[in-house]
Order: sequence, then C-alpha cells, then structure tokens
Amino acid sequence: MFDLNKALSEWKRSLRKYESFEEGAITELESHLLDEFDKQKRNGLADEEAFARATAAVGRPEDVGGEYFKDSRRSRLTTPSWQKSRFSFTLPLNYLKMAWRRIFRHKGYSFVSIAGMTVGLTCVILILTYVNFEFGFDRFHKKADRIYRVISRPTTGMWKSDEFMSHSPAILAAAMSAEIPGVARTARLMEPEGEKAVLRSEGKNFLERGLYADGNFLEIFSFPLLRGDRHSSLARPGSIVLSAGTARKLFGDANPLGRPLGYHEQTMRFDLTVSGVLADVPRNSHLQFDYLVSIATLESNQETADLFNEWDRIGFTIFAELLPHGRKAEIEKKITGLLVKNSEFCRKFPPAVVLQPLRDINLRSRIQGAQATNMQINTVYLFVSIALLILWVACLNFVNLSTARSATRAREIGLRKAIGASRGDLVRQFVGESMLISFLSLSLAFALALLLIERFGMLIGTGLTIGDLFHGRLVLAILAAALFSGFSAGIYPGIVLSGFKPVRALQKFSEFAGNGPHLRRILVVLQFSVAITLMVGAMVVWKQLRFIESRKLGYDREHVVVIPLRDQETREKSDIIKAELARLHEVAAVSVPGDLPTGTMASAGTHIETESGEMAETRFRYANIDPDFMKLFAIPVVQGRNFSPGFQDEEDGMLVNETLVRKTGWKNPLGKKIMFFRDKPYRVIGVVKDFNFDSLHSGIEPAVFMCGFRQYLSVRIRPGNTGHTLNVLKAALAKSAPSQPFDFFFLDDAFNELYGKERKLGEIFSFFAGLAIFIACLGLFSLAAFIAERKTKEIGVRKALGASSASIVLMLNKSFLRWIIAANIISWPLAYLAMNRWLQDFNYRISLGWGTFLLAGIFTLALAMLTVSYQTLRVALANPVDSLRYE
Amino acid sequence: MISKTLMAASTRPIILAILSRGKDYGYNIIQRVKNISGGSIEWSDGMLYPVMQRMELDRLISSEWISVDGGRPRHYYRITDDGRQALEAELSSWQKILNTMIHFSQPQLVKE
Repeated sequence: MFDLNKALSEWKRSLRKYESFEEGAITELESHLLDEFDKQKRNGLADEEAFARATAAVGRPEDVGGEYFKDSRRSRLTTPSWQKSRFSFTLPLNYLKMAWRRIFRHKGYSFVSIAGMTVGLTCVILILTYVNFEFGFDRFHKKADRIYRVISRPTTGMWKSDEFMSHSPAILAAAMSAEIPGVARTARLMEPEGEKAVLRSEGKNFLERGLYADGNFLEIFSFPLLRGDRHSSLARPGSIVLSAGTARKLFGDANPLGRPLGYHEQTMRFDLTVSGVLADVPRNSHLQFDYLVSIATLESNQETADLFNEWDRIGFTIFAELLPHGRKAEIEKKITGLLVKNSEFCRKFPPAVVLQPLRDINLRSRIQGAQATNMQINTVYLFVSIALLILWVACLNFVNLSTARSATRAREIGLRKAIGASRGDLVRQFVGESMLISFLSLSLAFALALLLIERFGMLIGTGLTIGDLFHGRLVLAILAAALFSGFSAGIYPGIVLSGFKPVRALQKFSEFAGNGPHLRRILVVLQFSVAITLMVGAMVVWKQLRFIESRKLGYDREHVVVIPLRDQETREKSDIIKAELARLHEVAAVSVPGDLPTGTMASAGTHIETESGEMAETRFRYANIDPDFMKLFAIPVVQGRNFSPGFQDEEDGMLVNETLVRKTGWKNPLGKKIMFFRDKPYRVIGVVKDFNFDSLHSGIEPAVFMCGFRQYLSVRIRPGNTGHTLNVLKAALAKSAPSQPFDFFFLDDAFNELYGKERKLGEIFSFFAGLAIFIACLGLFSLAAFIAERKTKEIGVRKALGASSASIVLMLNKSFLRWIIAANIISWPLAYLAMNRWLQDFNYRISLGWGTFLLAGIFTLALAMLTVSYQTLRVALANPVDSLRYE
Repeated sequence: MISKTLMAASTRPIILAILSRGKDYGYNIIQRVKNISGGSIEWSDGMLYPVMQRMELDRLISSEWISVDGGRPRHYYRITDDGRQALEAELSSWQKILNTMIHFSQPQLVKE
C-alpha cells in the first residue's frame, strides 16, 4: 500500500544529499510536488503513479541542485561537490603544499628520490650539452646549408664503401665553377706539410697551425673578419690572414695590417704581408686554424705551380657553395664526368664522388686526409643512451620508493577518496608530486652541471664551457627531460595508489604495505642490471687498454723524445745535428726518420718481383727511415743487413718486414726487386722482425723501409733526470739549428694517443657505471630501511623466541641477495654481447673470461650487502622489548 | 519549438510580467505560462525555483510564505520596484528586437 508521507520523506532525503538545497527550497519544492500530485490525482491516476509523475515533473535532484548551486552567490567558480570539477586553482595548490610537506616530513626518502633524480638529470644535462655542441658544428656559417665538401672514393677495391678521401685536384675547383651550373663558387684549401708552420716576426718564431686558402674562402664561409676585406684579403700572392689570438701573439695590440711576416713550413719559405684579422675560430668549427695563407702564394711559386694544372695531382680540399636551386645529385655526376674526362687515373678507376653537406662533416664522415679528426655519430648515440639509462635508473628509484611507501599514504588516499576525490584527481596529485621532485632535482642538477661542465668537457675531450649550457634548444630539451621523468616516475605509483578502495584503505592500512613486492623486485633487478652492464663495460675497456699498453710491440718506445723538424734547411743539416746530439752523455741513440712507428706510415700499391721473377701488383705500407732507425727502436734485422754507410745502399736498398716476405712467398728475399714511384727498382737488402707500426686495432701489414725523407728527429735519452736532459737537448739544438723551435713530444705519448678514443670510452664508462651504482645503492638503502622498519615487530618476536642477531641479518639480507644475483644473470649476457662486439674492432684483444663478470658480480653483491646490512644490522641488534612496543 | 537559449533568455522577463499583475506562487506561474503559450513554453518545474531564488537575491522580486484559507502554505512572490523597472527595460528591449525583425521580414517595395 502506497504511503504518501513515507514517499515524501524519502524524496526529501534524496534532496538533502545535495548541499545546495536549503530547507526553504525543499519546502517550496514539496509544495510544488503536492500541487502536481493533486493535479495528477484529479486526472484519475492512482496515488503511486501520480507521485511518480509529480517527482518526474519536478526533475532529478542532482540537476535541480546543480541549478541552485549555480545561482547561489557563494561559489561562482567551482562546481558542486557531486559533480565533476572543471578546473580550480585550489586543488593543484593543495597538491603542491602536500608534496612540499611530505618532502620535509620524510627527509630520508625525499633525499634518496631527489639525490637520485638530481644525479640522473645532471648526466642528462651534461650529455645533452655535449650532444648539442657536437650537432651544432659548422652551423654558424650563414650559408651552411648550401656549402658542400667534395669527397670521393676511387673504385679500386681497396677502399671500404663508407670510406672516402677529401683530396681532389686543385684544377677541379675552377672547372666546377666554370662548367657546372648550380655551383655558385668554390674554394680550395690545403694543409701545410706537418700541419704547423713557423711564423716569424721581429726575430721571434711561433709555431702555428694554419691552412692555404682560396681567395673566396671568406666569401663562402662566414668566419667573422675583424680587419681587412672579405673579398680581397686572400686574393693576392703573399697575403696572410691571422686569427685575433695569433695577431696579438705576433704584434701585441698594434694594428697588424700591412705588417711583414716570415713564413716557413717543411719545404717552403715565403715572405708574407698581413692582409686581414679574423676572430678566433669557434670551437665548433671542423676547420681549425690560426692563420690562412692565400693559395695564390703557392700558385705563383715556381716549385708548386704545377700542382694547380694537373688533374692527377690531388691534395686539395674543395668546398663548393651551391646556388639555391643547385641539384646535388646532378652536380655530383658532372664532377665525376669532369674527373673521368681529364684525369688518367680516374679514367682507369672512375671515382664515386659525393658532395658532403658541411653540417654532416663533424658527425657523419670517415675521411682520409680531412682537416680535422671528427667524432662519430655512434659515439654520440652511445653517450645519449647511457644518460637515458642513468635517468631511467633514477626514475625507477622514485617509482620503487613511492609504491613501497604506499602504506603510509593509504589513510590519506582513503580520506581523499571518501570526501570525493576521483581516481584522476589522485593520479594528478601523484604526478604533481613527482613533478615537484623532478623540478627541484632539475634546479640542483643545473647547479651541479654548472660546476661540472668544464671537467666533463675535459673527460670527453671536448672543450665545453658554461656558456654551452645556455642554448634555447638545449634548455627546452632539458626541461622536456625533467617533465618526462617527473611524469613517468609519478604515473605508475599514481595509478597503483589511487586504485585503493577507500574503506579498506582507512580500516587496515598496513596491508597495503605489501602491495607490489614483485614489482619492487623487478625494479631493483633492472636497476642493478644496468649498473652491472656498465661496470662490466668499464672493466673490459680498461682491461683491453692495459693489455695493449703492456703488449710487446716489437720495438722499444720508452724514453724516446721526438722533435719534428720544421724546415728544409734544418732537415738538410740533420746528419750534423744527429752527430752533435749523439755525442751528448744523456743521449743513447739518435735517428731522423720520415715516419714513426706510431701510425704515420702511408700505404701504396706498386709492383714487386715474385719468387718466379715476374712483377706482380702488391699493396704494402712504406716508411722513410735512416740507417739508425732500427738501432734506435731496437728492431732486429733477421736476414740480410741494415743500411750501412759502407755499402752505399741508401739510394737503392730497401728493408722489408717478415709479413711481406711471408705474403709474397719469397724463399730468398735478398736482392728481390721492388718498384716504387720511380723507374729504377729498389733491391731488398734485409728483412726486419715484424713490429706493430699501427694501433693494435689492426694487425701487422706487409711493409717496406727505405732511406729518404727526414722529418722526425728522434732521440733515445738515458733514463734519469728527464728535465735536465730536455734542457741539454734544447741547448744543443739551438746551437746546431737556430731556426728549429724546440717543440717535442714523447713517443710513448704518441703511442697512447692511438688509444685516446678507447681511454675516453673507458673513463666515461667508469664514470657512468659509478653513477648508476650510486643511484641503485641509494634506492636499495632506503628500500632496506623501509623493509627493516616494516619487520620491526616480526624481528622483536623472533628475538624474543631466541633467534640470534646474525640469523636475523641473514634472513633480511637473503632476499636482497637474490635480487642482485638475478641482476647479474640478466646483465652478464648483455654485457658479453656488447663488449664482445666492441672487442672485434681490435686485432689483438683480450678474451672475455668469467673473471671480469664474476668480479663485477662480487663487487656489486658486496656493495649491495654493505648498503643493506647497515639497515638490517640496526634492526637486528635492537632490543626486542623496544621492537615489540613499536607501532 | 522554442530554442533553449531563447527560453532561458525569456524566463526572467516572463516571470516579472506575470508578477506585475499580482503576487503568485511557483506552481501557478508554471501552469499559467503553459496555458497562455498553448504548451509551447514549457519550463522544467524544478528549474524555475533556482531562477526565482536568484531574482530575489537580485532584489527584483520578494517572497513570503502564505497559507490561504488554512490550506497548504505556499511561497508567494511579488515584484519589487526594481523588478518593475527591470521589466520595463526588458519590454523595451524585446520590443526593439521584435520591431527590427518585423521590419526586415516584410516584403520590400520595388521601384518601377
């Protein structure tokens, strides 16, 4: 039986759920409802039906309530609590306030999260700065997108498909400008022999690095010109343009324009006039020089004029500025056409010509004879991946701690949900919190990066400065990294924690502490996998380096001082200089070879006599030496004899190495003929024991040694007082060769430079492996603290029942031990594959034994146990009475 | 069919116009509008009261609870002086709109 009063009071209760209904409004609506009810009854409906129609006519309580809410004066901006909120400033502010408070309330955990994230972001900032620097190479030239370098690869089969040379014939440049539409202008560059030349002013000599450059070089490239004229400074023979730094060094603050300057490089000597001053070359230019000599100087010089007319004499780097409509592919084809038409060599071996964009030179070229050694893009990618891995490890820390600490937040989450917070609100809150941590870390990371950037630049061998940190694109990328890491670190805990049922969260919050132990395990395992992989990488790189350094190379490189002879005059006097130095007590031996056994030997292909007496084409490396070379480097002659003044064989004799004898199959090598860039053959007079004249990346190749060009005054000094010996050498040299600057290096250093890239890699690997381990241990430390805290009561009970402290530590440490072992199992094969691939690049390499992996495993295990044990010992040694009282 | 926007815009002037003839209560106002408009203006019953509350807060109308002949007490609304002024302004505005619409809807004379 329908009871109107009961129905009415239920209906009124449904209205009261919504705060915007005041009692007066409810009474008025009730009156309206009853009027409508009466009307429906008059229309003949039964009570129940009439009531239903009347309530429907009044409308749904939440809709009417919403209208009342909208029309009440107190809150125009917000929405009623039962409706989804649009946007309000109060909530994010509240989230921020809560996050801020949490940071200070849980200092330990906040420290771990912020420290980890700071370290991760510092890595990202440093590496992105470096990447930005590398990618910014040569982009400061106004026409950078239209400038190309002509590179080519002879199709002789001896060249790898991605290997090119940047040397072209000088005459090609003029032909390109004249005959190929689409080419606006060209500029030729050439390095002086020996890279550096002596600039002489007012009796002082300065050894500087420079280039010969074409008249319109400064019109194609936008190196800022401080004095002189961009169009004419390099047009006339005998002109030199100096960099501001060099000009200051030579002339102080005086105006250098028009001042005379003596110039001499290996074989040539010119009197020049300063015609311009350039701002110092920016670090991010692949062309680095202290001066530019007009190429017209060489063109008008009798000895070198031929270089400019012959198609088969290469040695110039050509840069072309294309017209905006110039089609690269067509121009490349036409350049090939020009070469094939005019050069005999190119007719025989048509070259593959490529116009290489200026902006690609730094990161994407493998060039022989290029002006500067460049960085490979793969190395850049490797650095970026390492930085992202570290950031990822730091984010995992945050995720791990947030989910582990969820128990302490269950009540807050329950309460927020009970008073109407939606899941989305909570997710936003958590993401906001991690964003706050991420941006706090970012400001710390930026401060750290300011402190570290220059050291980091030194570590990776690029001179980075603080100024490199402030580039619009870079700042945006760093902000994006912080935003991304904040978001990705917050989203998962947000989703997990916001999924709590409010009632259960409020009643038994402790049970939530156990949520996600699997996830935590996985995260810790992943973190340590990254750390261990990096560590194994670092260990392998160092081991390989040690192996190389300690390997017997077949020659003695210790205590050898090398002084490159800078001019022809000094070279001609080299026998006298040698004799004078040999007399010194501090000197054990002297030699003046044209090549050194540290990667300076070139390769050539000519004809040599086979065992059957025919002449066959063979490729080998060659070195110019002198009779004392083998003695100086203690390389034994195993068959025949060394060059000797008594035999007058310096003209026609040649020494060969054992590999050449083996490869050509000679039974008796002595007296065999070798053709080498002249009509008269050389004869083999002796065989020297194999030695490594390159880096150990490659094996020993067939090689010949002849007496010829002299360049490196090499002095083996007696061990002992090196400083004193160098002074003695300097004095002796100044006496016998006054124009020769005492610019020396130790052969050992030159040898080590062959492995500069590997050393750098080793340092970087170690640095980042250290950071990854630090972050992972930081996380492990606080996770251990948390777990120990949760088990305080359990430990109290165990101790009360007679468990020893040792057994408790063991029990707690066991789980962590398992995680680290799992991490080792994951990372070992990864590290093995990666490092095995890296080692393939070396002809002489260590074998990847178990030792390295075990060592890395034991080290991480020990470190992890040390980290964890501090916490577990603390709880295990606590008084059980206190533990049992703990809540 | 009258559009929602027009309906919303006309609610307040219509209420003011009804109350300018004398006090009345919500249910009756709704019924009168329904009858006079031949059912083409039909307000959602519950939605009227928040509007009236707003109008009262804006001092366009005032209200009191009155029990007629010992029956159920009803919330009667009456127009205030401000309400009358507002009504006049509304009427003038609506008149202008209507005149403009009519002017442009009439056929135009074509000169021969």
